[in-house]
Order: sequence, then C-alpha cells, then structure tokens
Amino acid sequence: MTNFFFILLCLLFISSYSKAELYSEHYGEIELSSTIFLMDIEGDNRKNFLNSTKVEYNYLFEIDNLTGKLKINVKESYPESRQNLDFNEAYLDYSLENSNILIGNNIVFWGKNEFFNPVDIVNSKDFSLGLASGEKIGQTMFNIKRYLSSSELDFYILPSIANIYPKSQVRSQQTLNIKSENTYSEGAKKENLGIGLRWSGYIDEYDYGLTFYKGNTKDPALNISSNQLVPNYSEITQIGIELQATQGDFLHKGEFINRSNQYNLDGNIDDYYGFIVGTEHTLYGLFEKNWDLSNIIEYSYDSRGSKSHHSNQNDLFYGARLVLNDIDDTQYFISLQNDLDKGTRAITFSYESRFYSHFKGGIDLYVPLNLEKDYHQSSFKDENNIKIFSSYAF
Amino acid sequence: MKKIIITLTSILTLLCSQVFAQSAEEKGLDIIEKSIALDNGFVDSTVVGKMILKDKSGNESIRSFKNFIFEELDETLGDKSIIVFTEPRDVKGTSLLTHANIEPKDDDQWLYLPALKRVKRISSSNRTGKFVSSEFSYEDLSTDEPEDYNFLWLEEINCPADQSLQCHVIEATPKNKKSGYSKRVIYIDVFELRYQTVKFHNRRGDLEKELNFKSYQKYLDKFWRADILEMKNLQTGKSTNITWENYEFQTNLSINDFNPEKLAKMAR
Repeated sequence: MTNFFFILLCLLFISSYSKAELYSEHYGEIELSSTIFLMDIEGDNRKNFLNSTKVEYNYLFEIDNLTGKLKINVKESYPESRQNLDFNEAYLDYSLENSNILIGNNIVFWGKNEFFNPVDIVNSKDFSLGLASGEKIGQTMFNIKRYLSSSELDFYILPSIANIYPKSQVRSQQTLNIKSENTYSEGAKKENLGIGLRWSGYIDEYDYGLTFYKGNTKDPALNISSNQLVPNYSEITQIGIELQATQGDFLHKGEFINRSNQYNLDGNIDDYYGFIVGTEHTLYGLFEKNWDLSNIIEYSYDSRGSKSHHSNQNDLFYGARLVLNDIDDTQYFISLQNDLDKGTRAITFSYESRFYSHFKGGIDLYVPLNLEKDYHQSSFKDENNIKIFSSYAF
Repeated sequence: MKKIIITLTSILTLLCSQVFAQSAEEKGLDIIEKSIALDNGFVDSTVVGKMILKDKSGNESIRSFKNFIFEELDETLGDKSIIVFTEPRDVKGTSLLTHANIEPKDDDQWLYLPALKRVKRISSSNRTGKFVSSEFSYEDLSTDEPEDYNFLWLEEINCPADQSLQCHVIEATPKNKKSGYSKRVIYIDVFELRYQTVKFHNRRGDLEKELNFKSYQKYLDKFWRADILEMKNLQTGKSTNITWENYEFQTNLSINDFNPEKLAKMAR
C-alpha cells in the first residue's frame, strides 16, 4: 500500500509540473538462472535445483530540481513458487543548491571492503532464493543530504522493514523452516522508526565514513519454536568507521563497528565490536596482454568469537579477479573464505561475459569444504552448487 | 670606416639572431603551450560520445557515454571530468570521476557501480590501462600538460590525415617513467594549432598506435573540437573510433558536481 501511494505521489507531481520540461527514460534487465545442487540433503525432500526468473524495470523522470525513480523487481522461482514484487527504488528526490531531500524507497551502500561490510546496515534483505543469496530490499526512508566541500552528511529516518525468508524448503536453508511472522523484543517494535547518520568524504588519498544507526536490527535471532525458526528483532545502536587509503596500485581498506543490544548465536543480548581490514592490489597487462589481475586479501574479526551471530568472526578472505579487457568484458573471479577458528573453508568461482550486444551470461560455483565443523555454516555443508545465468538488458 | 660599420653591423645581427632564435625544444614547447592556451576559458562542457571497438576479426562492440568536463582555473590542478556510460545497457549508469593532478601526482579517480549503489575509489597509477577495453589508454585520454613532457620541434610538412593542411611535427617525450610510451609524435596544423594526428611509440620505441582527429567544428567562435577520433593499433589490427555529438559549453556545471558524493546523482 505504501508503494502505491508513492507511485500516486509521483504521478501527481508530474501532472502538476506538466508545464515544465520533462525528461524521462526507462530501462531494465531480464535474468534467467538455474542452480543445481550437487548433493542430496539427507533426511528431507528438498529439491536439488532452483530455477528463477527476475525482471527489473526502471523508470526515471526529471523536472527542474525534482527527480523521481521507480525500480521494480519481480522474481518468480521454482520450487519456491513464490512471486516477489519489490519496489526496490520508488522515491522523489528534490535538489537544493547544496542539499538533497529524498522520500521513498531506496537502496543505500555504506562501506569500503569487498567480502563483508559490517557498517552497511540501512537495507534489510530478501533471502527468498536461499539463505546464501540475500539481496537488498528497498528501504523506506526520509533522507536529507548536505554537500560540504569534499564531504557529505546524510541523515535518515528509517521505518522498520523486516527481512524476507524462504517460505518452503529452498536451498540453501537451515534445517528447520523459518516462520514468516516476526517477533520483536529488547526495545524493537514492528512500527519502530530508525535513525541513520553518515558523514563521508575524502582528504587527499584517504576516503572515510563515520556512521551511526539506531533502530531494529537487520540480523534477527532465529529462535526455535514449534519446530520452526522464528525471527526475533532487537533494537540496536551501532557506530561505524570506514577508511580507505589509495597508494599507487594498492587500496588499503577497513571497517570498524561497535554494536549494542544485538542477539548473539545463543540468543542472548551481547554488545560487541568487530572489524574487517584488507588490501587490494592490481597487476596490469599480465603476460604482456591486456589482462588485469586484482588480488584482494581481507581479515574479519568479531569480539564475541564463536558466539557471533554471523560467520565472519575470525576469517581470512582471499579473492582474485581477472579482467580480460576484451570487447565482451569477460572476467573471472575466484575466492576462498577460511575460518581460522575451525579451519573450515568455502570456495567460489564465477565467470561472466557479454555475447551479442545486450546479452550477458555466466557461471557461479560454490564449494564448501568441511563446513560441518563450522559453528555458523554447518547447515550449508552439503550445498555445493553451480548456477548458470543469462541476462538481457534493455 | 665604412668597412668597420658594415663589419660591426654584421656582428651585431649575428649576435641578435643567436639570442632571439628558438631552439627546437623551445619551439616545440611554445607551439604546444599555444595550442593548449587556445582552449582556455571554456569553463565547462558536456558531450555525448559513441565508441566503436573493433577487434582484428572485424567484430564490433559499442560503448556510449556522456562526458562532463569542468575547467580548473588553478594551474596547480588539472581539470575534473565525469564519464557516465549509457550503453551497453548492462553497464548503464556506471560512471568514472577523475580529478586530474599535475605530474608526478597520480590522478584521483572514483567509480560508481549502479547495481550496488556504491562509489568506490580506484587506483589510477596505471596510466597504460585500457579505457573500457578500447585502444585508448587512460594516458591517451588525459589532457596534455606542458610540464609533463619534453618537446622537440622536428619539421613542418603536409598533415598526414589532411594533405591540404600544413603541420608542425613535434616529438613529445614523457617525463613520467610510468608512461606507456617512449615518445609521441604530434602533428599540429600550423594555422589553427589543432591536433591532427598523434603517433604513439611504445617503450621499445616501436610505432604502436596512430590517432587521427577529423571533422573539426568551432564552438563559441573559439573552441575547436574534433567530431571524430580514430585510434588504430598498428601492431594488433584493433581499432577504436569515438564520435562526439551534441557539444555544449558553459552549461552552469559547478565544481561541486565533480565530487564523489555527487557521482550517483550525476550518473542518473
């Protein structure tokens, strides 16, 4: 209903500004994918495949200082048989000389690192295609942005939006189903208004961000009740710092957070701090060809250790991206995540390239290694999968 | 007496010609500086570019983009620019912001990734890297700053790309050791001081690429811009052509529009 009113608001503004010069455009993408899981799950009847179709449609208009954008994502998948319609972006944005006011649904990115962004907390996630495939949901917001000389200050009011979990037993999943009804405790309420603040900018070769968030967590506890997992949201406060130093071919990055009132893995409230630090380096013109190879190494830490609610509590990440710089924009990416507590690992590989002018295709591979020993990811120990996808952009 | 006066006059003439004659280096630098100076005062510009990439088999790929440039009046700083891609459609909105710096300082660059709504600072130290897989490197696309090169005037001949014009031929040797070239040979037409052709020699000294500027148009009665740039890699047979359309100048762009915080907005 909220999204309907935003669309109506857009149309009202357009009609009232009809005498001014209107610029508009529309564009989008259709993606078909098929994921095949290579191992059965013992003891239950989960399908070993997931086929999905995603359509993304964008409509943008500009009249003088007013911009409106509508981005609709429609997803249909089997065996989930769930049709998702998400207004990822549905906003009006008014520009003043050094400020911006935005009302509506939007997606925001906070952070500097590549594998994990602990400071990135504004948007909830849609896990309907599997717990390893969370995608950001549009967050309803009132956002004021003030541009300073080499920085920007953002203030947000953020109504609470819960994560979306799979309804049936779609892989990757927990052993138990996740209930669609949420519970709220420790100061959280379904109607909570969150507050976000971010000051970001650059000084010479240094980029920085200082962030603050108070509102419902985006990482609810999953409590067992009547043979189901029930999401339980608490109200958290988080302070974050993001930094990047660019030095020649090296990019040094880090994100640091301090969060209070978050449920940990045991379902207890536990204040904590965490960080991720790392370096990215690129080699150019590999083997005297046009190939560029970027190497990324990052380390993440959570002060709660094995009681962390996420799996990046003491982990080393390595990634390598090979870009061929050909006319098809072909690239390969391989990554290794290594949990230093238990020595568990997971490997990913992806390939993508363009064919013809408007089509793209690729393969993603996920290979877990000895995850049965992992506190957080043991449910995914048999989730080896290969995903083939193709997309058409219009 | 008469002989003495004639002798003294000859000596004085010879001395004056020695004092005021330009060396080939000075002449080369002077012409480049004059060519660059003719472009001063454009304030800002926007243009639509269409880039056609061809591999040696003749397969083509098209990139389209908008290019915004803000003229930096401070001589210790370079111009600022934003490139916003519009085609192929899957990269629509991807944008590159560049704050050019004077050598030896690397440019500052940020990349906007619309799928993630993320602005990411990137390394710009690799000047030899190819711009979106084209035959133009980042070095090729940056503005010539006189301080970055040693110039040597070679001769005056017919311009290779347009025989009806006369060109100064100037050799430019980069001072930056990270340059991808040992030298560039620049052909500048004598009357309007416009770049007509540039020949790029790689680090081994071999002729690697040739860039021709075609279909010059004059804007605001002062600023020459070529509608077509043709870059050919003479070693691989690949080529990239850029066609510029809809040039606009003094469009009230602000220096604040060229901050990374505004990149997502400029990319719309």
